[in-house]
Amino acid sequence: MATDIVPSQPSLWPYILPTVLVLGACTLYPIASVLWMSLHDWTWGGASVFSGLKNYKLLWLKGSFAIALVNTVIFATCAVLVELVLGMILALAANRVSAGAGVFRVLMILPLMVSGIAVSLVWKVLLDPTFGVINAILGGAGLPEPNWLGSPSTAMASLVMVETWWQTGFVFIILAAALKSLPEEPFEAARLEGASGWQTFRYLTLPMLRPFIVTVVVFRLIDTLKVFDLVFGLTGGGPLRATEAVQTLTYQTAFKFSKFGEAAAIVVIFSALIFAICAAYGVLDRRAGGAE
Amino acid sequence: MTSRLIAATLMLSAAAFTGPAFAFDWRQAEGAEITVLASEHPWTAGVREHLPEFEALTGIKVNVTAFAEDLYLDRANLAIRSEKPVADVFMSLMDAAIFEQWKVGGVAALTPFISDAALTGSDYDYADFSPALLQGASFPPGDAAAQQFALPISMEAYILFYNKDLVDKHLGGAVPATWDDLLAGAQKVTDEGGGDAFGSVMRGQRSGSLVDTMTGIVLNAWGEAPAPLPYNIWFDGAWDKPRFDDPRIATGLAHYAGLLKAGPENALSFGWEDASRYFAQGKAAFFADASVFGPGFEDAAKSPVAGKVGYAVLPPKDGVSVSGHWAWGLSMAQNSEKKNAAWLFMQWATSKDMDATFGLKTGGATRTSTWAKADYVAAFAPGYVEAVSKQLEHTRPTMVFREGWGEVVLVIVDAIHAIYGGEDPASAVATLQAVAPEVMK
Repeated sequence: MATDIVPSQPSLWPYILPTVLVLGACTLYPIASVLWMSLHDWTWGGASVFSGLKNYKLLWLKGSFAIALVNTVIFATCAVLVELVLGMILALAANRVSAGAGVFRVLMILPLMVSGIAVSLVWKVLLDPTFGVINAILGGAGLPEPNWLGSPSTAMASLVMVETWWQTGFVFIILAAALKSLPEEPFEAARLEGASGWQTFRYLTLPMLRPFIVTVVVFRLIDTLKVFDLVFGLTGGGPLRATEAVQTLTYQTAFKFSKFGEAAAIVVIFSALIFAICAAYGVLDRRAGGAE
Repeated sequence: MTSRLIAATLMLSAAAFTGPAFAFDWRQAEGAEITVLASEHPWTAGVREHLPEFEALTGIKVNVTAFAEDLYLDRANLAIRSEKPVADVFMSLMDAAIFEQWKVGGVAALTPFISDAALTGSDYDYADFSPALLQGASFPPGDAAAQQFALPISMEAYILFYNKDLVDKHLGGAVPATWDDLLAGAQKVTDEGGGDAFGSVMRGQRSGSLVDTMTGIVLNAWGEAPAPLPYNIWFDGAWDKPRFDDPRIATGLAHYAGLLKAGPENALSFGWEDASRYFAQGKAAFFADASVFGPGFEDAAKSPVAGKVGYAVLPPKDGVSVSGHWAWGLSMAQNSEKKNAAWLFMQWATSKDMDATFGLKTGGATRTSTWAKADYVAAFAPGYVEAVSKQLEHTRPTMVFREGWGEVVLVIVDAIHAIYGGEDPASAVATLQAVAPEVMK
């Protein structure tokens, strides 16, 4: 029998163990180190003094973390929603056209190649109420000229707008590729059955794209929750803390105030929240998938 | 007051001019190679330009590594805390920042070098630096045996810049002499400017970079009453006696908020880059900020307002215009293994000749004797040196020596923003009085 002449598979562990150990150490050590740091008063160079849960308590008392967390969640939720809807519409459009589709794809991908700080600086100039091109065009057309980044009521929406311009291309690429990979037969059958465009999208395209959408949402959610460069470059967290994000608060706490214990406490809580969001999303998605 | 200190240093430096100088061994560390960590600053540009002279004089190779300011400050903090030497000399902020670096033992004391005749030339004239500037890095603060941990390389006082064209057009050429007139005049320019010209521009972003300008304006409202370091105006002689709700502080913060309010509607997103750009583009009538911006505004190649800028002291209180001063310093990393070579560089870079040379680029020479030089004074726009010199007669340091002060600054900025948003100044500082001690814990 064939099984008699095929040698038994040797264990793979000796081969992957070094990699697992190195990766484990590179992951676990920083996590343990940050946890440990969050329980200490440490000003980067000074003595590290155990302080228990003081840093966590301070975060609660100062209120800065709560403001930054709410801002970050609002930013991430709005940005991912807008990017998903826009990316989906553009991917569906690109899937229907044949002429110029390549140029369209390149145009969509271009913003992704620009660094976050460069995006911030360019948009900061574009959105300037006095020197900016955008308000000049709006004013010329007799439209209102918003105070994009200078007003607490518009600054967050402006950030979401810039983020959308920058990153919708990512959603577009994934969904456009996914659409190309879908089988033709169900769509032909739907056409023969007389299904409308909306029905085809709702009952065929959307369910078939579900795994791709989940992937895109999780990736974009994690990415936008970590927003730093746009806030740093466009608003600095202002005005009036309207756009203060968790990452900019962490940076400021650690490198501007030298309060590394407090910064570590922010990192611990925020990482736990991101982990919880991802886990919850995964569970919900599995349940929804099972239900269907 | 500062004027007396400056007068005393002037006398001391005059005496030093007449003293003999013996040949100093500049080549005692020949062959060494040192690294200078710097912020991209006009001073750094001056150093790069004249570095070959130092290298020829001493035989020491100098590598200048410079970064944009924000990035630089992080790099410098990292460098001095490193176990292995990263940089021998670094630019320091002569305020709470170097205080914190001193507290963690990252900075070398310079006093032993300054007082060693074998290491410091007799013509160095340490007394030529104003004690008011030196106290920004003299630790422990207020201690009779305090040692020096930085030497000032670029000084700034907080003065009032004005655009002559806009003041002529909207205010009949009269520069406001009181805060009420200044705020009303600034608002008038904004009202009449139609979105193309504004009464004032200020740093408005919720950022630590406001600290010195803001403190200068609050010091102006404080007047000549005592406010010794390390507490400055914010504490009544002890850390557990905050006085953020003092009416003079409320007035100063209200003045700052008033200038913000009379500016562009996006003023709360302005860093110093934005505010100075607006002024340099001729979009603002007034700009209260650091004197170091002056030479840049007069650079015709880059500034449309060159030749149109007027300079004045801040509006006086009780007949005296008090303001703040602050300085970049040059420090030696404690972990440097080439301290003698590092000190020779520092000594050269802060010498009388180099102070005058670099001062032409920064507009903020730090030696008293430089400000007395006719060619230094003649190099700047008419009125600039007069305004800065007059302001310096009544300036005080802007710093507070306290770990974590940077975080308190942000809640002070919150109070300014609250006043900007319409809150009564007394109410805003009452909140500040309650919040600041919590932040300091």
